[in-house]
Amino acid sequence: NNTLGLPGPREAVAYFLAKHFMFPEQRDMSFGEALGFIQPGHVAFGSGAASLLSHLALSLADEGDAVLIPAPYYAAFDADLRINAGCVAVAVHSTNPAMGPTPDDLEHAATLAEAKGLRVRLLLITNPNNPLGTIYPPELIKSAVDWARSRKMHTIIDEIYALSVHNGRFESALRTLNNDLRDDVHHLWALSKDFGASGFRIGTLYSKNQRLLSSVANLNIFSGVSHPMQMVVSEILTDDHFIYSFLENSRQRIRYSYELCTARLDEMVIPYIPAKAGIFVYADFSSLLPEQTAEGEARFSQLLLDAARIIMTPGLAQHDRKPGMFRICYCFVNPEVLEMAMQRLDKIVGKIRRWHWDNLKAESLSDII
Amino acid sequence: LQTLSRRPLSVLSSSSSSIAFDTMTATPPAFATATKPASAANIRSASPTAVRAANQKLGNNNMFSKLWKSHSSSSRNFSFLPLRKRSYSISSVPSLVVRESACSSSASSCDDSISSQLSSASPSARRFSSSANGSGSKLSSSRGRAAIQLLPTYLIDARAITQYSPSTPEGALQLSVAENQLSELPVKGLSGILENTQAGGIGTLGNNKEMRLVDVLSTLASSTIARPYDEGARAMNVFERDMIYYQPTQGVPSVRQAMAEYLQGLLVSPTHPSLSAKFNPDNIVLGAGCNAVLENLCMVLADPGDAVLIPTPYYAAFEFDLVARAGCHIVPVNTLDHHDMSVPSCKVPISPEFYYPNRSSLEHAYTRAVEETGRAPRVLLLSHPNNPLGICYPPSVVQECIDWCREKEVHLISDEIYAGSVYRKERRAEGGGDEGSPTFVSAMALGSDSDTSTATEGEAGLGLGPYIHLVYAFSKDFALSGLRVGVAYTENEEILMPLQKLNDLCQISSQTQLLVERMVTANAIVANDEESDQSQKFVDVYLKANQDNIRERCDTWQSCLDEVGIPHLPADSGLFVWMDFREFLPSLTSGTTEATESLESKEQRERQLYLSLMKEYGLLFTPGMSMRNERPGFFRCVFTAASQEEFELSLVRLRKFVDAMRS
Repeated sequence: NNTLGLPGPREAVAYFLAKHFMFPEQRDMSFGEALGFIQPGHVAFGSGAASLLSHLALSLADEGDAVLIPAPYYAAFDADLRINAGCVAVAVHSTNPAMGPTPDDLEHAATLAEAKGLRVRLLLITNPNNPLGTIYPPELIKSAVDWARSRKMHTIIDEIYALSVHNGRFESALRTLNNDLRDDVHHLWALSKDFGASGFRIGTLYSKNQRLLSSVANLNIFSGVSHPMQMVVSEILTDDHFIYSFLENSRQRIRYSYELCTARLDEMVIPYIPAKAGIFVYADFSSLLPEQTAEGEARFSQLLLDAARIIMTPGLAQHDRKPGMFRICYCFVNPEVLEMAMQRLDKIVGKIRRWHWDNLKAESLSDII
Repeated sequence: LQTLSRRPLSVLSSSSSSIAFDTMTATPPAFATATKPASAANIRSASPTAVRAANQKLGNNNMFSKLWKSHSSSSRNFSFLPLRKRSYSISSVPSLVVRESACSSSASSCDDSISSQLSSASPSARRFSSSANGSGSKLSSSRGRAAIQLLPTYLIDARAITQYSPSTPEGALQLSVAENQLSELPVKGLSGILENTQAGGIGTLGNNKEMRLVDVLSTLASSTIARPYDEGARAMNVFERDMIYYQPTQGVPSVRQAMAEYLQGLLVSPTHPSLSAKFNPDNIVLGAGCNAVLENLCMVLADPGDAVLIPTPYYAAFEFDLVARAGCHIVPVNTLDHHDMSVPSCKVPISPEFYYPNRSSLEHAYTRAVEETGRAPRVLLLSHPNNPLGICYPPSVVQECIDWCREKEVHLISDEIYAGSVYRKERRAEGGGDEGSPTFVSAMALGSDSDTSTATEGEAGLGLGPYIHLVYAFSKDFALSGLRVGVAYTENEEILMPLQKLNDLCQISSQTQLLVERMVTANAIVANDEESDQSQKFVDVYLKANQDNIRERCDTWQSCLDEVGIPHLPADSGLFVWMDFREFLPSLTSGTTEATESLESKEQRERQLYLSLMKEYGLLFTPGMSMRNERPGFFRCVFTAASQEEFELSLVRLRKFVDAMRS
């Protein structure tokens, strides 16, 4: 049999991707129709998306090769690409990160990497984006894939937040590309975010590259998914009624917490990138730093932790160039706790503005919690 | 101490300290309300309790629970029902793919032109090389292409031939895959399962003498059960909310606790009941299968190119597990010529001692490793009980390995994946004066220094020191290879953190972990005619029944071998008999002696016999040369991979083969 997954569960994933990623408007699409679009043989399970990403890097790039990732990006990509595959993540900076990298941005980053002696083999795009919470326009995905193809590179499309879109409207790359993945576009998804089921350790890969799938099959010997869990998941993914109602419910809750969080940021006059998707918002605290450096960002983080017991993901850890950017994961806590956190944040922001860093005394911070 | 390779340190330092917690929609711990300063990293390890603190009801958990139950009920034709072969089963298929063949490439034809590939590549030639042939397609990497070409030739041969089935009765009988189909039989003596702690048991399948392992798992999966090692011992569902989210990468704490207890009972208590030293749950790492945890152990103990010593013959897929990504260089420990006696010729049984590693053979391999890699070897890997030999090393042999490893600062990894399949508990009379002593003594018991650990009453673990490590899995003793649950145990504190980090990429679903926890902690209701000890663990009842089944098969197979006069090792554990077919090898070309025969010639002669057994007599054994055996003509028979009908047919075919060859 096959370490890529049991036959039934692979069919279920194919059905799920066709129905919810390619044709979300066709709610009554049948199982057979869906499998006409996505072949179960092109689908694989892995022990989490990270593990599949590691297999892709190992299979498609050689040790020391570069993987381009639009910055800022999910901090753990560095380790996921490096631990087994030995690949180097290279940040792609752009003038407007929220809109995604243009071909010029990509070319610029690739040229810089090559100047350092790296071979640039892969492009990894997370859409909807983590940490920005934005959705790249379809044209951008198209142009990025075209750019990668022009350089004979592979593109990995990570859509792990595809179903956590606030208004429910998201165009998957599978649709944008009209499912024309050829041998060089590979799609990742997992249950960890859209279903909050990170403890399941289940990621999915969709690729039409048979040699790649054969390679992943061998590598999956180190990261297979338990068969009973595959069966459970296949039942979930094919239960349309559950999926639709769960996702709608989930989106409402995400929106509620997002609005709660951003209303507070508005009150504090903290700029942020308006999020359309995901479970976080990317906010600009740079005006509050003691200095516009990595040390300044670190001091601010430490102050939040010590005085307010708040942890946010610092931007520099996510390869942002500008100090003071923070990702706030507003869905990691329930709304009551979020409200409390935002109140504390409001207090400490007020104190920093009032006292400045030089005059922040222990006693003036003692009433935050 | 040279206890750590350079690799994991760089892994650790390269990883960011900031870990995303993007669990959506709900509850987990408060980034805003941590009661003490905490880094993102220790929030992660603290999450189960913190998650519990937050309390928001979500619809999805109920949904998941319902599904798990529906899959666990026997009304569905998938889930735990062990349909044979390519079906949705947790027990039937995967051992071929995962533990045994380590490959999934499609087979080409059974063409003699590939015969030389049987094993002529050096044991370490299989690493995904990034340098060789790098000029190929720009659309794939050289190691990516290498990853799909790892199938041993004998498996390509085996896949190309029609295998036996009721509709193809002339097909070859599969006796080469280390799979135990006897585990599908009803568990003898078992009549139900008790709830762990309080009343109101879950033995809904009680008083049923036909209860099988899969029935027990289904019952456990769909029950609500108090977990003995969970704080507060609340009754809980497998799909409890806590378990939906990220867990510590090395495994759910209560599961590691249960595993520690299980390993103690399996490996230490039977021979060392009064040992105060205990397995420490903090030193356990649970990963997706034995392959995964073994690879990770090698990653943290050895750098690419470092040598790993393995006594021959050895489980062929070690060459995938250790070489493919970890890049280790395997140096075989040849044992036959390191004993006082000389190896007997064919028809005279080779005694087990010839296969025991000793100081002489270890030193020899050590020197060879230094010659080949320019530095000292890092690891000695023991398969104990041994695959493919089907025997346990005597305690003195394991002790010699332990002592040698500690002296030489070489790490000993004891792969005890067959520890629950030791079906002869006492050594037979062999003139060595150790008749009646236990057959299997774990390296965990022998390596334990109870003096140092009693100081803290078991908290410190077994007192193994930094050089002794264990791997175990449920794939063999329970035939649960489809669950993908492997265990690594080490008391080397330096590698523990790197191991946990590497485990990021091969974690087991929490639900599967909980199922295993329930299985190893469940108490059995035993049938009346058995010992009526109510405190019997289910695993003990199951393992005993399974061992009885294996022994029965083994006895039948060995009697047949004895009758037809094929020498073999006296098997006591595992699923195999190691057989000496040298008598049937094609003869040497003139001018060549056994001593001067080339490797190619050895492989060629053995493969001819292998193909003849397979094609003309319909018997599929594992050829010894594929397991780096020193001499051609030895085969491993897996007598548990066949159905009863197939097994009986294989006896008939074996007799036919012997008769034909001798006439």
